[in-house]
Amino acid sequence: MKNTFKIVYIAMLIAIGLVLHIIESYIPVMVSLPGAKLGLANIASLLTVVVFGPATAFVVSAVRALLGGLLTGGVSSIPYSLNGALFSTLIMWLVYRTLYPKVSLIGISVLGAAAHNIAQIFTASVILGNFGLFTYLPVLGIVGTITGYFIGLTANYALGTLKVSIQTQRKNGGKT
Amino acid sequence: MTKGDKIIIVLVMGISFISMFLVNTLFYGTAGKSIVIEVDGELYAKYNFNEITSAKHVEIRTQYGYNKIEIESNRVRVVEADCPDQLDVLAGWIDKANQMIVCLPNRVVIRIEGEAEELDGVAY
Repeated sequence: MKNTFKIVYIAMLIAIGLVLHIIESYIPVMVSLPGAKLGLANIASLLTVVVFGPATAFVVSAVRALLGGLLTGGVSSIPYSLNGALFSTLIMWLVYRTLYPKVSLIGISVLGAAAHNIAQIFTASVILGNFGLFTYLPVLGIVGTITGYFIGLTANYALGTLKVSIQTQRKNGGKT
Repeated sequence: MTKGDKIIIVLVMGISFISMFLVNTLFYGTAGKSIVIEVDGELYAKYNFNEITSAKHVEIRTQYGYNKIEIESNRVRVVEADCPDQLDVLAGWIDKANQMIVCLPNRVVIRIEGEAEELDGVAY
């Protein structure tokens, strides 16, 4: 029973991440900030790290990055988003484990965004064989901190509701 | 927001701004000497600025995609591309040594090379 319950929640978190990923791809980029994005899908990864732990979070972010790339037509961008998602999940889990609750979801999310940017630029540098791309990292760092703050804030609100929901489900043996 | 969050935000922002300043002052030179176009990490074409008299258009057609760039006497930009995000077109002109325009989907890197360190004269 508990297993079914977990599978359903994981599926839902992947679905949420995927929908956010797709919605985000429809938001036009006004200026040239390659690789800069809101990172809405990170909400799902962040919540999974906190609620289910690292192993599940890696599955959720990897599946989301793969399917998201296929569904938004950016197959060539899959390596970047996959590496970014996995590395940021790893960093978010490490920060959550060591610093939570001294650092809230906001700080975790900001560092997750930074990790995502570093992994993305690293992947691009390897593919293009040009490590000069790292000169672009500071700009992404600034944008990522701002978006990461709001993503963390959003995840904070969602976490409260999600925890209550999960507790109720567990108490009622899966019945609502 | 906790105190820890604030420390993290200030740290990340601080590091970003300092390194952005360093990149702008130390890494980017003044004027460039030549344009180097790389596709998938390999040299595709190279143009010297002093050989460019009027605006020149170069088409880059590879297995990865299509980009059209415009070169003027001291600057370069991408005018057309078939990549979905069009970030290389949005990047606009670059005119400083070591600056670059990247089109990730098409694996194109356009960068300006600066003068090799040459001495104008030596005084004793």
